Amino acid sequence: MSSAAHADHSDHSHDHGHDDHHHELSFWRKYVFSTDHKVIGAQYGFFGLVFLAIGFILMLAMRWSIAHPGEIMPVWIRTLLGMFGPGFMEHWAPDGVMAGELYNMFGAMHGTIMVFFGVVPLGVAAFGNFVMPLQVGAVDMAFPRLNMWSFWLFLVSGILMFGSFFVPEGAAQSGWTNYSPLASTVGAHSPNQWVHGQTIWLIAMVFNISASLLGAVNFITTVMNLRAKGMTWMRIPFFSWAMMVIAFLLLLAFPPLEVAALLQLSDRVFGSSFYLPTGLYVNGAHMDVSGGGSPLLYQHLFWFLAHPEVYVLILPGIAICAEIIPANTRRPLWGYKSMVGGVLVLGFLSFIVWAHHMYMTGMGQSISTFFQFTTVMISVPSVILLTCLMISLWGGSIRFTVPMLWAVAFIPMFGFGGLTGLPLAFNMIDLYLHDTYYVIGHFHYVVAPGTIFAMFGGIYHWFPKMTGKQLNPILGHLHFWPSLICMNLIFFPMMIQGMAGFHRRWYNGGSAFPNTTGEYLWMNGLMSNAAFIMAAAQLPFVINFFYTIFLGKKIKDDNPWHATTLEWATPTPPPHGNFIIEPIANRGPYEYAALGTTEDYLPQWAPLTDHERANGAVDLPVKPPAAPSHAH
Amino acid sequence: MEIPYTVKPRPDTGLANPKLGIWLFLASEVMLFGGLFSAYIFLRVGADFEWPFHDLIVWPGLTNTFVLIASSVTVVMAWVSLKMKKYGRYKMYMSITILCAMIFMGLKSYEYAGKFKHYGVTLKDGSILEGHLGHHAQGDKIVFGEVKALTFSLTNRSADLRVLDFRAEKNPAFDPHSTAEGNHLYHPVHGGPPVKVRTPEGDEVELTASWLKAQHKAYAEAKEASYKFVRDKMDAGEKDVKLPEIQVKNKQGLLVKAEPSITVEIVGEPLLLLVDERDLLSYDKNTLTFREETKAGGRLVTDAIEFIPDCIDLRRAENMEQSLAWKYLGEDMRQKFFTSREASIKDLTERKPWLFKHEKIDPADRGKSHGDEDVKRYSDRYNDEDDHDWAHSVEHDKVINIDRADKRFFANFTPRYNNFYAIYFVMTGLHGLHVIGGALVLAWFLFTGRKMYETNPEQLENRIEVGGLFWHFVDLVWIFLFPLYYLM
Repeated sequence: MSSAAHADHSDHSHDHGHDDHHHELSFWRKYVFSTDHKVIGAQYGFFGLVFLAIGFILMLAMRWSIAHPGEIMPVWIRTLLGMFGPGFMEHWAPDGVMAGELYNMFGAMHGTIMVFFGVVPLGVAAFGNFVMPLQVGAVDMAFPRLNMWSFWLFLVSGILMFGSFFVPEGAAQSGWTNYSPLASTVGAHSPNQWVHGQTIWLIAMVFNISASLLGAVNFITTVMNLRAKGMTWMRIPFFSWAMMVIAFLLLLAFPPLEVAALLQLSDRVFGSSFYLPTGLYVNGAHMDVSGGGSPLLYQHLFWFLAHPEVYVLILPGIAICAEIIPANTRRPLWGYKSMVGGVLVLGFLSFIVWAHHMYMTGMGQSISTFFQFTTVMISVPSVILLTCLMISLWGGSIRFTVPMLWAVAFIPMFGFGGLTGLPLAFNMIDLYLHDTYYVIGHFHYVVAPGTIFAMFGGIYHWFPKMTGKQLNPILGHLHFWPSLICMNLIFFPMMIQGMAGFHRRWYNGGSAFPNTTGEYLWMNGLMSNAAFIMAAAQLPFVINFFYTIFLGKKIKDDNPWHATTLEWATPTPPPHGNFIIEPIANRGPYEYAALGTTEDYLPQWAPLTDHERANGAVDLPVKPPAAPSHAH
Repeated sequence: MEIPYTVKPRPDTGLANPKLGIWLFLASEVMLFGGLFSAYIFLRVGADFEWPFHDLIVWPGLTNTFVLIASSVTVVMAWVSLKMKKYGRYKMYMSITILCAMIFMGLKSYEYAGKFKHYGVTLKDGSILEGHLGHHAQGDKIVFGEVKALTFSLTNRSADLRVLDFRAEKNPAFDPHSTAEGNHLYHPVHGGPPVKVRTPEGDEVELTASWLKAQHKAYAEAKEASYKFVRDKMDAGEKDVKLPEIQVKNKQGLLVKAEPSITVEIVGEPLLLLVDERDLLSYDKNTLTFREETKAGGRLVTDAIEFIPDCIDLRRAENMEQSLAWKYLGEDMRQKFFTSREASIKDLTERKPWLFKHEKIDPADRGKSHGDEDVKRYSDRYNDEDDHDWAHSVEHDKVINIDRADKRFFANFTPRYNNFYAIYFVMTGLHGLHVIGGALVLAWFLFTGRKMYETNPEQLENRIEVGGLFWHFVDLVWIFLFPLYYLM
């Protein structure tokens, strides 16, 4: 599998630890401490799925408390919570009923785990690591060892974050945003701040941020510098474009969160007052700190990250759909160039909308107006991206494969999430809707039936390339349809409840305020039952996943979907070094139904057609292949 | 498999991977320090206290600025030497660079150390006394003696035997006339002898972690048994099940009510404790309550703060004439202060008359005018550097004992003291970590570079270039930090 690409500069010896493919790597180097982008992608993907499952279980317990406040949790939920080991539930919920503290802990950790340890590692790190270098025709990431560091830092942060459940005072309880002064003062009496869950949250985030910085540097360098021959900017598949934009968001938006975390850490363990105003009273006593700080500073630093982070969450979804849809409609992605432009504009604008999360803080009207303006503006590129995906369906001969089902469901679900965001952009309306279930419904529509659907689509789409085995479509249908229905039964009623004024952090689901919530309380039961059924609907996926990996049949075709991008030009699964033939991009990424070919698709790596030559295309200089080219 | 463009630049982007990578990394570093600089501005603009002005000594900062600039030059020289294939000169310049980093960190440590030893007490009326701790009886610690009983919480999961770490004794070598550092009447006992206690049931046991753990476990098991009863009833469909009394077996094997805490009596010598107020939840004459809810019963010996003031800051005092500071510093000091204040106001009026113009135009605006700020800045703060007489009048063995009841806030000049020092320590500390990290990488290039120089000099040059870029960034951050903290 020697790649011809390195022939140019093999005039020096390699004495500094380059992975040499001539000798077999040990098991540890190959599967555990691997520097291969595909293995790292798989590692990220596995742990991303594990964390998604953990976050999901936390949510199930919370939903029980909302629908059945004060009632003992059923045995199956208590069994699932057995993942915390003996002693945890005995301490935090001795009577089996979810108390407010435990609900807050689960709420904070559900958000944190889902966002930072579930969706981003799966959507960006797993798919990005596995697919992007293949798509641009690279042999690996630009910095393979940094890539390995990135994964291990992420794993350490995940272990720290999950481990914080087990310290005496439990995990973080101040919401996933960890607003100060609450987050700076909770457990302030604890004798050792370093082992308080709230502090561990910050330390884990510092590790997580470092991991994503290393990943981001790697992603951008790979797209910019390791593109294959002929892979000009406008021939890069949209997925890889989106990954590069995401990497820029991570690179530039995460450091301010690191600042926020470091300053809060200093408040907690060194007793500073960055976020603590003068005269703060906690538990009825004047807090022994100097004061003079600003809680608003935390929110600015936090949301400067966390708004771009929203696009880090959603762009992988759009990007995956942009790959699945053309392959299953058998026609080019509509408006590829506008999508690339749109994603760049979206990335830029995402840096100047953060304070729309802070309308309620009383920043002042002019600042609110500015952020209202930019927020409405950012809907333009978002709509461009979604509209392009939608129009791509038009006139296609759609194959409803399992990945396509998820991708097609993504469009209206994400659209709904996006449209429900528009009212929130407006300062006046947000004053009413802020911190209600409407907000929860809105962003869950974007992320859950949005991004997570797209990621499931991505798993079904790239699974054959990753493992050489095809997931079972019947189980796939059993996974998809109940999930689709349940998602809507969970999140649509939230919109109604939110508009009725249900607060997002009630652990008893509003039953304490029957005069105002009574009319809508019945929805709690509906939503919770839908969530429980959705949990069951994930079982076909789990079965399918492990069954196929261990007992599935090998596929023969390297390009089972007849797709056009370079990742399908590799052997299946791709070996270390990825390509047998030198990858070249002779044309754009979505040449379906192209002229001059008898097939209905023209891969990027296929030789130039007569039609293309007639239009002036010339052959790129290619080294003769080292091994026989494989058929597709 | 070989990654392309690890050494040679890619023709169309003009960059090799490491160079592109370091620029991207630096972009994120800019955002990191950008966030911190923004936080500085945010905190300073919104400060509701007197933001320290010219509080830091300039010369170490200034020296460090030149040291870092020099190292930026030498790192370039090292790179140029490599390009010119002069390995010896490369080694020399690189060594100078690393030496500069060490000088920088040395001066930084010197600056930090001074701040850890410098304290400030904000009194109840807003007057601030700055100075050092007295080296006499107890410094800033609370002395609590005759401890005969300890109560451990059985519900607080952090409860442990930490209380024993605060044991102290009277110093046999104490010399009441000595002013030497470390000459304290009370001094802590590290790893003292085991403590024997009598349990409520009358047993004499040695106080050990495993004993406390067993008590915790017994209580947790008893609690779990009661709750399991509730859970089983609720699982069976019953509603509103009452929690039965939590019971444990006593020595006779009878079930008795389990207490959520356990009190033990000390057998033998009562304990003497020397504790920091911050380790306590609360205290009074007869009880200390630690953060983990452990209680010690005894007698408060003293909780005064022994202090040697070297600066009076009355800018936030409610009434300068009646400031609580005079209670401790006496009438003499009071007169000195106001004489000095009048002199410096007179001096300011003569030297900067425009400062007072605004006040004359609109007296209602007094307190808002810029001039008033400056008058406060120079006149209402008085330290021994301004007046050598004062330094003599408050001799170092003349210690004042500040009553804790008069204190609003007390800290050394660490991040706790105020947000100026907090952001100062965070930013310079983070910058210092960058200096250390950068120096370690450069040192690694220096000590392991020979082999690469012989086999692949171009790659070594690239490494030095990339390391040098980072080093310049670290230097640049300091160029911003220095004026921000020392001059502005």
